[in-house]
Amino acid sequence: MKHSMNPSRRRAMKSLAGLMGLGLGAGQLQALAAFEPAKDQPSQIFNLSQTVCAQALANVIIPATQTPGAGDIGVHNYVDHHLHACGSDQEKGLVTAMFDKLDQIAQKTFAERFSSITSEQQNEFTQALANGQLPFSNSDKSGFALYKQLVVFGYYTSEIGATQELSYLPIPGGFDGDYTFAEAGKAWSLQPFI
Amino acid sequence: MSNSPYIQTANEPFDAIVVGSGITGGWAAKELTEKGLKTLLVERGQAVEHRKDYVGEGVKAWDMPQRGRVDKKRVDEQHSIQQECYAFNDATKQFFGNDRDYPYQQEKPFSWIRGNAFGGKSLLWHRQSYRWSDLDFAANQKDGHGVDWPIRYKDVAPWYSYVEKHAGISGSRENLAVLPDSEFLPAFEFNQVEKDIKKRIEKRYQDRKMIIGRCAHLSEPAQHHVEQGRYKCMARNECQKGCSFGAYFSTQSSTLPAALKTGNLSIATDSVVHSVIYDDKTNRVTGVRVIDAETLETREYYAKVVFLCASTLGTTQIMLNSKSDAFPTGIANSSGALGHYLMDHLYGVGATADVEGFHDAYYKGRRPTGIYIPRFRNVEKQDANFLRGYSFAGNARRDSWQSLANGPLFGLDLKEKIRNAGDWHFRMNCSGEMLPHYDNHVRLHDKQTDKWGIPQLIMHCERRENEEKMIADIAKTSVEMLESIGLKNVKSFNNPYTPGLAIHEVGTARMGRDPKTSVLNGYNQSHDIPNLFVTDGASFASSAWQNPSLTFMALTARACDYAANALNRGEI
Repeated sequence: MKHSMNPSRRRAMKSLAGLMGLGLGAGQLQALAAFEPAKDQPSQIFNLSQTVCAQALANVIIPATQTPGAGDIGVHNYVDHHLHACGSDQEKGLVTAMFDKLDQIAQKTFAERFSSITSEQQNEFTQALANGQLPFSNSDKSGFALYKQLVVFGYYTSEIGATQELSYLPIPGGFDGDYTFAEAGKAWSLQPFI
Repeated sequence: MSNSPYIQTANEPFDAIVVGSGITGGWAAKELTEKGLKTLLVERGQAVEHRKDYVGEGVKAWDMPQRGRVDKKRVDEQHSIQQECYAFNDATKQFFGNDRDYPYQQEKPFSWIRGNAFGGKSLLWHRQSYRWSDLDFAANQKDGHGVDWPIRYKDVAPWYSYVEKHAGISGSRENLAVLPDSEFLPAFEFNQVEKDIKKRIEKRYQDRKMIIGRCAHLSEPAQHHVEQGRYKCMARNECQKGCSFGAYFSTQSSTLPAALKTGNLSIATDSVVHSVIYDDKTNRVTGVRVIDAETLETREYYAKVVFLCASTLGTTQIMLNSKSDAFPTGIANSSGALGHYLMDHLYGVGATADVEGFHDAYYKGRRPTGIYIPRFRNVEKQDANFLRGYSFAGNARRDSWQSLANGPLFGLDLKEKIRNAGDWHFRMNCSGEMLPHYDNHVRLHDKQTDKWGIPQLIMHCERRENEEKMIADIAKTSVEMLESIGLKNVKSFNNPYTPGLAIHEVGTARMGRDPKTSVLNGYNQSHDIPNLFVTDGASFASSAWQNPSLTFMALTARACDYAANALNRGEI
């Protein structure tokens, strides 16, 4: 997937964002426009606010380490596409409502959207969300569990997740039951049944 | 010179017609052509050529639109039932049945998982391969449920050996009476945790063994496998997408090349068999009526002998639909047994546990088999409150991104745990025998038809008293076993599969000694019509607890030998 953004696209994104009163910073615009979803489809389910939140939350779920975070490589856009293709209406609703709730609570607490608060603050909210603790409800909790599942799926079936973060071995050549983790160094990415 | 074997219309009759190109159809085609019979292999689905048509093989996840998942619209419209199968995904969907075009009725819940392409379920199966013993063949006679199998282990043993050598079965010699050894290629390895669990189980329980699962994989190909163009198993465990190494047994990798080599094989794909053609003056079947899968035009093929290998329910549907004055309830059904005594294995019950330690133990390769605990209930004597028995299949694995996605972690903790491979867990799942029962049956709907105008099947199969008692024992025993050997956090799961979902449905055209109570004799030949043979799962008089496919292969090869000899002697 390409990650550079051409100037005309940046202008288009900025004007759109401006129209919606989002006031996004350059980094967020870059992140938004950096993704080129499968077949260059625009966002199917998530509106612009939700996309921005989704990206930040994806980076909370799988943060950058020596390899990029899930939001950095556009997994949130993949999840949008995946929900569109495979999700039920209920699932789509749970996830988008959860994003809206996150932004709402962040706004209420810090007068900022979720993507603009600090990393520590994001983690704190996410922990409460994962536990279904107030102010988050059970359906917020379900929405998060579903989004997390899909972010993990989308990350480790992406080229970066499968080949850089983990060990990619499409043709093992045979089975070795005595192989040590020390020899492996890191976990295998490929799983038998998707 | 090699001509294409594919035909559409046929101007001349064949010696033999084989309906279905799956596990049994492929074997019938090989055996009959090798015995010199001009044979037509009829398949309802589209052609699938080895290697060329394995369109999902080797495709990277990130190059697939949903990374391997199938879009909801397609699933809802065409594969609402097939999607229940663990092997159904975007790289395998083209080999599965189409629930929109080929629907059926569920009088009781039934998940009919089927193929619909050349190769049938031989492309999709799990390759687990086990022999039956006389504990299984004599079970009906012993406890009176069902009718006695007209064969015993000694009749089938040479044919097990015969098919195993050709197919290639990996496993370990264990000398167990309850699970006779096959002709083996080297066994796959246990991992370190499984080795430890095996030691503990066998120390704690004198009558229980844990062995490596026996599977139709070329762990090390023999010379004749190499000559067939087959290679060593690469341990990708993505078999259902199609394997260009030919490393697991399928029609494409194993039986078809042998049949083609003879020059005696013709193949008609996209040919849905509507019924068998019967001549009441000679009391012989003379061929099959076919509906073209695409154009819906009809045509007929003729032969001296017909082998129905269309899968348990596919075959029985054809037989029920082949009505005549002589056989108003379905061909070769003077007994009334056709459609009845349907069985499927009990699945979905077992236990999981955490395994402490072993943090440096891992594995390389995705082993295409697991561990296996053969039946230990009611073996030497009747020791349970139910009849017959069950086995366990399972494995030990470390947590991966797939299993950790549903856990409580997120963030750095999650990413690190995934990268460093999580903790070890052990899991085991049952396979339990279902008793033959008259009311577990299929019949044809009198109005509803499928895309080709063929009456839909109505399924009625349910677990009864013996099955429920067996399930209770499985749930209790699996937990007890894992707890007693010191594993932690042992949890039971007790979600019995809908009948059909184990994909081991057998019965409905059973073998037996008495033509009044069975459809087939000991050579899979119909009692009523000497040139009609049924060698797929429909022929089974009981279900046993072992995966059935190896027995399908052996019975098919044996029946073909008998049929070819009978044909040559002018008896049929």
